[in-house]
Amino acid sequence: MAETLAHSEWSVDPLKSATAPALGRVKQIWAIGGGKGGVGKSLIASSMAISLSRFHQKVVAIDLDLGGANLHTTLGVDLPQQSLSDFIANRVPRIDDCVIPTGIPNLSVISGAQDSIGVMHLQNEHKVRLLEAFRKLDADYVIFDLGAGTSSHTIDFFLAADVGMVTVLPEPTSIENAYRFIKSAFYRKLRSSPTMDPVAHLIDAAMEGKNDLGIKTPSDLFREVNAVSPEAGMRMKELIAGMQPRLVLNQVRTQTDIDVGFSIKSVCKRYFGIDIDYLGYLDYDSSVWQAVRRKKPFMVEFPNSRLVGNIDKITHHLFRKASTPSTIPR
Amino acid sequence: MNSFPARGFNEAQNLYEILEVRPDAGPQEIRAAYLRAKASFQRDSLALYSLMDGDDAALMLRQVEEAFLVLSNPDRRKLYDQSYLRGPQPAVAPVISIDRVPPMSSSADMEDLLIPPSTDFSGTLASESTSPPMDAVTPSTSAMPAPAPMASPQPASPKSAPSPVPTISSGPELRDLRERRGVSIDYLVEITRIRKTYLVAVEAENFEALPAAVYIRGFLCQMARELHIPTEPLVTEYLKRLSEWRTARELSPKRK
Repeated sequence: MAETLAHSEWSVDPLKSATAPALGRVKQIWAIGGGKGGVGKSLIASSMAISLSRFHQKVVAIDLDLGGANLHTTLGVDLPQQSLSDFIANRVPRIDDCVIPTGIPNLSVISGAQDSIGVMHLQNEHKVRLLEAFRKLDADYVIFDLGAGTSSHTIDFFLAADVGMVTVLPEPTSIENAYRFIKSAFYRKLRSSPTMDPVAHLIDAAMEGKNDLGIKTPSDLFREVNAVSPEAGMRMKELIAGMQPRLVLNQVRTQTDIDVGFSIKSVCKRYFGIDIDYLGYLDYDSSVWQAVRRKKPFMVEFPNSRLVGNIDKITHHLFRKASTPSTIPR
Repeated sequence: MNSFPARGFNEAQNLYEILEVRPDAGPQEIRAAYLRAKASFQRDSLALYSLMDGDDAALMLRQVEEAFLVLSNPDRRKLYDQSYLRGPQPAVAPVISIDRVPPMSSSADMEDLLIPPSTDFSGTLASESTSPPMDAVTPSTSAMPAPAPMASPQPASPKSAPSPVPTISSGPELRDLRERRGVSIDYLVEITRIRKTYLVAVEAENFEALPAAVYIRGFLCQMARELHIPTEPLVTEYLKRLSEWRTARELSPKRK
């Protein structure tokens, strides 16, 4: 069990204190991100949460789409009285006060902040406090529904999770944003490692994209880092080897669409040097909108659809993996 | 575990990695991987969008084609396996790295992309090498009295001959050393599993009879290892001469 409690390879060092120790009963945090809006993050998050709850796991789904929260709706819950804002603003003392039952056995939800102002000024210590609280929740699994974009909050929550999933559609716009998201996470992860401090300026330059050193790609960065400090170069290699974002391809219609996932994996391997785990794909399903209109979870409304089968398959895979700790150091 | 200094952190180590298959992949698997890789890096691939530019992708495509060319042909694959993966043992980790020039400085030809690694085999050599530091001796065999070559094909352990080694950088030098060490060509064939014609051609620098540089590099590494000499100067010098020769041949207007 210690294996699954270990903090993620993606975790950010400033937040490490929140994620490293085995504080609560939470076995794993799964984060669903993806950069672009409308790629199905909330739907996937809520569906996975439902799927996981059916494995007799106690699940809390948390809406971290701060400012644009609607995970509760995809779970068929009306806008709750208490939300994350109340905890952040200390209006409620305990995170448990924000946990709302969904009516689905084993599944609760924490609604996202409704007022964007408090959230915009989310300080690092708030984030640490939040993550500590999440780890202590009375749940086996916690699922993060991340917001669109690549804000530092979003990326940090993504990195702090044990399993970070990137949702992407087989469309240029979505792929572009997904790459931007992975890039942000990649550089932020490097940047947050204290061992990379001597080359921090280089990482900043790489994040910036435009610089005099000609650092445009991770490969360029590695070259420059190595020139400054071979030790940092080795460390960079290690950090990269430890990264493993997961990929979920949503709304696929053809085999060619499915193959895009494999291509993204190859391209990322070559560009970032990271091994992306292509978890699987979700069939395009034109009945999703019906469930959304009815404000009912898709998983409940259309239990026999292929899409539900896809979700179950991915969830089961991750669940099995988490339950059988591998011997390979993560 | 790898050689320390700068090399790409995300470069493929061998042809199998380029196609993203395991070294024991079957022909079907290799073909499927090839088609997949081709789809990933072709110009209109969705997965490249906004991340990789055309030149990098084109380079990847060339590597993919080259890898498939070798791995799809049973004979060439066997040869490649022998020179890179050291015989039938399953390659748990890449045994020999192929260092590649970063995309920016690459030129057109695949062969030109292959440069010798800086410290290949240093790990295996370090424990058993009896050779003195390389800078101690100049690359000259004439400085040494050449003893009569031993004609006997009886296998002699190279380890039993810890005579000082000059820096070896050419085929004839390699042959002289081998003969001095009493290692027969047949013995070398047996332990390296490289074809005799190739070994003879390497020693004679009969470039005409030799395959692509990628193989020759493997041959040289193995020969150097068996003779317990540093690989570095040999491979560099040898491949340089080979490349010069091949360039000259291509430039010459008419050859028979």
